[in-house]
Amino acid sequence: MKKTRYKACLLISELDDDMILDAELSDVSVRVKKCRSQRIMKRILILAACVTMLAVAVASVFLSAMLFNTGIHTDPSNTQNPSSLDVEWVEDPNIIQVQRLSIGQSLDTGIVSPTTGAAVSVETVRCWGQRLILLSFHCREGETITVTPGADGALFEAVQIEINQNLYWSVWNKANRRYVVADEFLNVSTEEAISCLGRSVSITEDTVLLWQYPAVSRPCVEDNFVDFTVTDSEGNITGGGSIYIGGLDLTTISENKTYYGSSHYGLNKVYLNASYRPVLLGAYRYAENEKVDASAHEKRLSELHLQAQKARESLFDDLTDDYFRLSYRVLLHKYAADLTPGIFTGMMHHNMAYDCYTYVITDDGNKKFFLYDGTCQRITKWETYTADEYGYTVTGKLTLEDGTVIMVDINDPDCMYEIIPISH
Amino acid sequence: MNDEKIIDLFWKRDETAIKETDKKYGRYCSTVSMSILHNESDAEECVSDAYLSLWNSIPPHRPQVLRTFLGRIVRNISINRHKSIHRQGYNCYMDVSLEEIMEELGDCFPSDDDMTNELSGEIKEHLQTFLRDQDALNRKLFVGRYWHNYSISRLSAAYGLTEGAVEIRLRRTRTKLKKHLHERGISV
Repeated sequence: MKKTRYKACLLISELDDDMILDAELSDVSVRVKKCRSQRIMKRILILAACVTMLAVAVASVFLSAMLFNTGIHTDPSNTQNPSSLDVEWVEDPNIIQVQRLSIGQSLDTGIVSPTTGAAVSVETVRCWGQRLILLSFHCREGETITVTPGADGALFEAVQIEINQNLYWSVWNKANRRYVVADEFLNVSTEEAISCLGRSVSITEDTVLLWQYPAVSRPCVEDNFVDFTVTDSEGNITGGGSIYIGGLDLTTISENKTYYGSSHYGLNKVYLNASYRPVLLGAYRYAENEKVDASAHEKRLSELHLQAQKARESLFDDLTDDYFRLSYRVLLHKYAADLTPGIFTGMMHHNMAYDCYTYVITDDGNKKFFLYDGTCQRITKWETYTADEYGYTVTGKLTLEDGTVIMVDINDPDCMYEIIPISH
Repeated sequence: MNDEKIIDLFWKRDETAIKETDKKYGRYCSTVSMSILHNESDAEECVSDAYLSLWNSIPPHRPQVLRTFLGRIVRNISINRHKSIHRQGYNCYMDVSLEEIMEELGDCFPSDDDMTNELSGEIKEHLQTFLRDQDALNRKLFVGRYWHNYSISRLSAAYGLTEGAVEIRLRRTRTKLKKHLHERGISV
C-alpha cells in the first residue's frame, strides 16, 4: 500500500506566517484576466500600427501620384521652365501635405496635421532660387499644430497664425519639432520662447526684437535662416519668423553682434502693431511686368550687395552707438508671373515700396535713402505708413534731402521681396 | 474591516465576525481548500468548518496574521477531508493534486505511519530552520509548492523560470532538506 504523507502536509501548514505570505502569488483569475487584457491591448496596438502604416502608405502613393501628375518632381536640368516648379497642394481636413522645393534639389516633404477645425491656407513663395511654402493656420487659441518634417528634416521656416485678427508667427521649436502656437506660445516667458530658438536675445523698449548670434564663425548656417520673434513693449510676443540670409557673404556678419530683427522672412499680410518700426531698409525694384533673366538678376543682386555694403559703411560712419541696432532689409522687386525660375525672387512685404530704390531708415528718425547708384540722401520726412486692421493696406511717404518724394504704397499681394540682414 | 476589528468581534462573540471573515477571506479560503480538494462542494464545507474552527479558536487565540491563521485551518481541514474521503485529486493546470504533493514530500518526510507526534514537532522545528537558511527564491518555491499547492507551471510563470528549473530547484531543496533532517537523526 502506498504510504501517505498527510502529516507532512499538516506539518507544512504550520510554517511561519511570513513564509506563507511571502510565497503567496496573486489570484490566478486576476492574473489570467490581466494577461488576457495585455494580449488584447497588444493586438489593438498592432492593429493600430497596421492601420497607421496603411494610411501612410496610401497617402504616400496618393501624394506621389499628385506630384508626378503636376510635374513637381524636379529636374535639375530643367530649371528654366517655370511650370516645372509649380506646386500642387494636397489638402485634407486633417492632413496637409506640404513641400519645400529647391531648384535642382530633391523634393522634401513634410506632413502637417493641424488641430481639427483649424483652417489652413498655403502660399507659395520664391526666394533665392528656392520655392518655399508658407502655411497659414487660422486656428483657435490653445490649438497646437504638429508638423512632421520630411526625411531630411527639411521644414518650413514660417508658419503664420492668425488669432483674433492678430497675426502671429510661430517659432519652430527644433527641440520637439513642432510649432508652438497660440496661448501656449504666448504664455511662455521670453526666455523660454527664445530658448526654443537656441539663440540669446533681448527685447528693446521699442518692441523690436534683438537677437544675438552665437559665437560661431558662421552664424545661422542652418538653412541660412535666422529665426526670431517680435514682441511688444510688454514683452508679449506678437510675431516671429525667420530671416533668410542666404546669398550674403556670411563672413561679413560679425560674430557676437546684436542685430535687429525687424522683419519676417515670408511675411505676408502681417499685422504690425503701432510701436513696430522698421529700422533699416534697402530696396530695389523692377518695373512692373519687367521681364528679366537670371543673369540680369544676378548682376543686379551683386550690385545690390555692393550697394548694401556702401550703405552700411556710409550709414555707420555717422551714426551714433544707438545705431548698432540696425538691420537691413534689402531688395524689393516686383514679382512677375513670367519670371524665369532660378532668378532672385522674394516675397511681398507690404511695408516696402517697389517704386523706390534702396533706402535706409533708422529708428531714431534719422532716415536715409540710398539710391541705386550708391549715393545716399537723408530722408527728411517720413510719414508713417498706415495699415488697415488686417495690415493689408500700407502707405507711406518719403521725402529726401533734395526734395524727392517717394511714395510707399504697397497693396499688391503679388509683390515679393527679399530680406538680407547685414551687420553694421 | 481590518483584521484587528474582526478578531475583536470574535472575542466579543459577535457572530458578525464570521460574516466579516467570509467577506474578506472567503475567496482566499476557497482557493486554499480547492487547491487540495479540487471539489467545490467539499471545499465549501471545509471553509465552513474552518470558520467554525476559527470561532472556537478565537478566543483564546489572538492571531498575529488572521489570513495565515485562517489559511492553516482551512488547509488542515482540507487535508484531513482529503484523507478521510480518500479521494483522488483532480489534475488542474493551475494547481496540483495532494497525491502529487505527498509523493514529492516522500523524498524527505517520513510517512504518516512513522510520523509520531514527537517526531512531527521535531521536524517542524528543523523545517523552519532549514527554510530560513535557504535563499529567498528556493524558499518561495518550496512554500508555494507545498503550502499553497501551486503547480509547476504557475511557479514557473510567476518567477520567470522554466518549468524544468523550478522542478530542479524544488528537487534540490528537498534533497537538502532530507540531508538536513538526516544529519539530525531523522530519516525517511
